[in-house]
Amino acid sequence: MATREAGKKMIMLKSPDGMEFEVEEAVAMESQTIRKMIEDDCADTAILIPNINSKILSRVIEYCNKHVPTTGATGAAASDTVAPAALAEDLKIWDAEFIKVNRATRFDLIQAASYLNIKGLLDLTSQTTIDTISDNSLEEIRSFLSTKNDYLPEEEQTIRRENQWAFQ
Amino acid sequence: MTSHRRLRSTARPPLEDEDLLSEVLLRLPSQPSSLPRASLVCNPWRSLVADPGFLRRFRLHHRRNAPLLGFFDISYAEGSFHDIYFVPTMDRPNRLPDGPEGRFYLPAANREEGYRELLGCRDGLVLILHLPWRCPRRTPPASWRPILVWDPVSGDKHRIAFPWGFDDYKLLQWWINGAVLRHAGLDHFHVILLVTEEGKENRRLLAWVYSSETSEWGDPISTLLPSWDFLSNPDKPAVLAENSLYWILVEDGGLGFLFLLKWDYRAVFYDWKTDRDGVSSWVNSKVIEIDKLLSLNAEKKYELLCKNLNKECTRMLGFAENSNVIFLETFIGLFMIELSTLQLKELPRTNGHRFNVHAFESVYTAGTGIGGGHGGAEVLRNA
Repeated sequence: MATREAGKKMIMLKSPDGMEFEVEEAVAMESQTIRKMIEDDCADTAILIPNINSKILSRVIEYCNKHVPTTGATGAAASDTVAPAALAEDLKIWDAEFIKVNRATRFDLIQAASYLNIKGLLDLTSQTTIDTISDNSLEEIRSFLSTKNDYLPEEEQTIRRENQWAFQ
Repeated sequence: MTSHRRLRSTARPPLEDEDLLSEVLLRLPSQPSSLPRASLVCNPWRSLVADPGFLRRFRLHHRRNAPLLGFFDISYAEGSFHDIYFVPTMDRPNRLPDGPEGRFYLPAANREEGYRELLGCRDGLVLILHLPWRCPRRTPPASWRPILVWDPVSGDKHRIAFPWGFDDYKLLQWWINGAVLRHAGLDHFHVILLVTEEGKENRRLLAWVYSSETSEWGDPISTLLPSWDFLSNPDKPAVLAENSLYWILVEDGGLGFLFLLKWDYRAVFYDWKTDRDGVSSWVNSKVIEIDKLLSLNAEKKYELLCKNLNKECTRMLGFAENSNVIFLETFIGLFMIELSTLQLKELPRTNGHRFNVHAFESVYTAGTGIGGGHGGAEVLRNA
């Protein structure tokens, strides 16, 4: 935290496929996992992010860049002149565009958001997944997840009976 | 959420990973049918949504937007010793079962328990007061715990004794009211008890706060009442606004009240506003024309009036503070109105409600898997 006043402190994030991304420390610290590494002084000049390939990592950084608070030393944006409500609305629109990705990418982003502990990104990716499937039939949900119905017919009946009201 | 996450050596699809699946399923809609329906997808989903840890997180995640499941009332039907029953107000498939077989039914144990008063519901908890039929002995037994806090979803019941120093024998002459609210997540709650005391010289209002964390009542706070008229409606439940409880109605998070013009079928809202000079006053903020919502013209209103001369006209039975809904009883039925959209919904006729009904807004999670037994702890507390 002591280095925050410098404002432009940069750190290097490395993906397992060998790509390197130079980002502002404040941006990287949108990830609670990275924040902890930095605060615990576990981070050298470069941090290896395992299991997240460069394509997904670059998207995560893009997300953090947009969501890092613009106030304080790093705030180049004119946040003082923009009302918070308008700013939030702008972020919402940006998020909606950002999450227009295919299913595989979205799942990768969920995984990355979970590992890096970025609450906003986890909310966005998980909620989008739920919204996609919640209006669908059971069969559609199973095919979307590439999951099989592993219930015996009588098991299915038992579950339906337990909370009959929920299936009426 | 754990702050440190382990790495996954194999890149499995996230919805096959239990941790990630739980992150996603947490965001299922907060309606009651969400989890039972999700449990039908496949076995891993069912085990997850039956897991107590997951259910807890689900309740926490949705506690700010808990749906209005229905309302509670006390039955005064013959043969009933003030059973507490539930009236569901959601549509299928989110309509929870009611009636004595349902989970949301609290029968009175026996006549000895005395009569019951339903003081209020908040944050998924119900506050009930058991009062004796007759003036109690001067020294009630230490086991006498007349206050009951009930969580209908988990089935937990907490019985609480009156605050120390409370003169029990005066109970029946006193005006008594209260409220319950959770603080800091799901684990703990507060009970607020309001009692009036009339001395020779003055009238006082006493307030005690109970914390389930310490199982103790705090010291009473006392205030002089300018007039008894303040308490003309002792059965009115409290309202929570910006961390303060008020015994009047609130709209849009601010302080305000609703004035019902019964014969005119109009609801007039007043807000407590502070102007630029710092002067505060009640300002008329909105009028809802209930007659228009109910499609009642002047002739129809007159006809209804003639037919129901002996009955009470439009009456506000209760309100739901998070969902911004009021319950109205009229000559032509029981209705709920969503105040910001003016959406009207007719509810099935019940046996009639003598006093207020108490809106129940909660996340329903119980009984979503095999082995997800619903015990319901009876926690006895001696305050």
